[in-house]
Amino acid sequence: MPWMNLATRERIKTVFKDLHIQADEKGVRLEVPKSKLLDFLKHLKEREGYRHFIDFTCIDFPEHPHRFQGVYILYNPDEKERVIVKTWAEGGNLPSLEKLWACARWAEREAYDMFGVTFEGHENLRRMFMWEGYPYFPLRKDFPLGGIPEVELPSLTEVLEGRTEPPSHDYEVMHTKVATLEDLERTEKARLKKKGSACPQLGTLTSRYTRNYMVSF
Amino acid sequence: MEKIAENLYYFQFLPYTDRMDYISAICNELSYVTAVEKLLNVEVPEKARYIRTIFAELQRINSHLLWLGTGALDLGALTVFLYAFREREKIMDIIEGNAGFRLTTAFLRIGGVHYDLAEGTLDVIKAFIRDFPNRLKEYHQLLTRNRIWLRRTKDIGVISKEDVFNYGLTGPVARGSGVAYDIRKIEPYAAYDEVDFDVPVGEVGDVYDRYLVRMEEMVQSLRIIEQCVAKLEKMPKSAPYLNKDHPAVIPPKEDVFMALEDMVKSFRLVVHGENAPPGEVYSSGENPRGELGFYIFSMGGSKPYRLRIRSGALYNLSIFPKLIEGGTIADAIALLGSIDPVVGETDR
Repeated sequence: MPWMNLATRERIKTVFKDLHIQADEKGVRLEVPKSKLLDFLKHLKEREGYRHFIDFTCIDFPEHPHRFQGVYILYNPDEKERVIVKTWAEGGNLPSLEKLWACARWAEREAYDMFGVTFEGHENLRRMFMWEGYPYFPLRKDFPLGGIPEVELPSLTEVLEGRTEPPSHDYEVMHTKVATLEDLERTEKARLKKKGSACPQLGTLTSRYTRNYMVSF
Repeated sequence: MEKIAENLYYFQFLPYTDRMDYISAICNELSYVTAVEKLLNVEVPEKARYIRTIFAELQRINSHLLWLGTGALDLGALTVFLYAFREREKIMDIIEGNAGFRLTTAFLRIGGVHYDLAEGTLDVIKAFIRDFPNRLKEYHQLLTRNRIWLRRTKDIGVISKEDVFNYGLTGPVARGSGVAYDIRKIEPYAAYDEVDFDVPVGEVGDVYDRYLVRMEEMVQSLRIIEQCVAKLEKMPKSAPYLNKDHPAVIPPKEDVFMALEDMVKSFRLVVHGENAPPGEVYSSGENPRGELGFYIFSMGGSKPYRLRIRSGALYNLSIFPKLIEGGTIADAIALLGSIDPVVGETDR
C-alpha cells in the first residue's frame, strides 16, 4: 500500500523536530502537538504535495488527560501516497482547517456534533446530524448505545387504557430523546435563515431531493 | 453506526456495512472486509477473490444503472428509467441466485465469501455479458447526442482539479474532472491487480463528463467480469472459497456441522470474537459513489475501539453548495443527479 515513503519522512523530520513517526506495513502515522498542527498540515499540503483531503475524525480516550485525538488522513496525488496525521485536542478544541481544505468544514461540524470538540475559526460550528439543542454528544464513550432514557414515551396500550400495575407488556417507559416537531422546525429555521438570503426560493422548491439537502448542510 | 461497531465483533458488524450504500451493497462489504483482513492479516483464497470481484463489478453496473435511470428521470427522460431497471432485474437475479438477497446481501465473510458459486452462474453471467453492450448502445442512442440532454448537462457544475483536492472528492465525480484517482489501481484489492481494465477520465468536469465517465465505467466493468469469468472457469470446482485455517475466520456451515475442530472454532469465535492485534489500519475501496474508507483503531480484543467510515457520498455532496451559487433550479437537479449521493452513506 502506498504510504509515505522513507525519504519524505526523513525530510519532514528535519523540518519539524517534535514529530513522532510510526511506520509499519499497515500505515504511516505522524503525531504532532496541537500548536504545530496548522503549520504542519500547511507544509504537507504546499511543500510536500499532500493536497487531497481524505478524512478527518476524532477518537475518544476517556482516560487520557487530553481526551480527544484528532486524526487527519491526506493523500498525495502525484506520488500516490497516503499519510495519517494525529494530534491531541488540548483543551477540547482544535484549529479549524477551513482555509486549507474546504470540505474540512463539514468534517469538523460532524466531529463537533458527535464528540463536542470545538474548532477555532470555524464559521458555522453547529450540529449537523442531530437537531439543534440536543444536549449530548453521541459518539463519546460515556454515552450509552441506546441513548440516555429521559423522555416518557408511553406505549399505545398505555395511552388507550392507562398504566396498569404490573405493566401490560415488557416495555420501558423512559426512552432516549426523540426529535419533536418543534425541534425539527427550530432546526430547519436556524439552518435556512443562514442561507435564506442566497436562495430565496427555498421554501417553494418542488424537488424533494434538493430541499432535503439544502436543509441538512 | 460507528457507535454500534464499538460494541460488536468484527464479523457481526458486516451486515450493517452493506446497509449504508444499499444500492451497491457488496462493494461496501468488500471495503470493510478488506480493512478487517488487513488488520487481522488474513489471506483470501484465489477463488474468493475472483468471486468478490465479479460481484463487486456487477453491483457497480447495478448502481450506475440506477444512477442513469433516476438521473435521466429527474431531467425528464422517462424511458431510460424503465430500460435501466429492466437491466437491473437481470443483475439482481444473478445476485439472488448466489447470495439469497437482491439488495442488501451479506455475501462476503472475513476470509472469503459465504457460499460457493451456484450451478450455472457462470453461464448466466456470460449471457449477460453478451447482451449488455447492445443495451448500453441503446442508452447512448437515447441520451448521448440528444439535444435536450446536451443542453441540460453540458457546462453545468464544472469542477476544477483544485476543487477535487480541496473538497475531498473521489470516485466518478473526481474522475470526470481529470483526476485519475481510482483505488482499484492505486491500492488493488480482491483480484483487481490481476485483471486488465482502463479508468475513464473526463476533461472538463461538467455533468456531461461525469455521465460519460459512468457509462464508460460500465463497459470496463463488463471487461473485468469477462476476464474473471474466464479465470474462474479454469479453476477446479473444489477450490476453497473461505480461508478456514486462519484463527479468526469462521468455517462454513457444512464443516461446522460435520467436523469437530471447525465446530469448536466456530463456537469460540461466535461467543468470544476474534482477537485482533492492537493497531490501526485505514483501507478504502472504490464504491460506485466514491471512496469508501474504513479506519479501524483497535486496542486488542475483539471489538474495534473506533471504527470510522469515510463515506464518499458525504464529501462529494460538500461541493454542491458551492456549485449552485447563481445557478438555476434546473441546474441544481442535474447537478445533484450527477453527484449521485445516497443518503444511507451520507448519514450512516
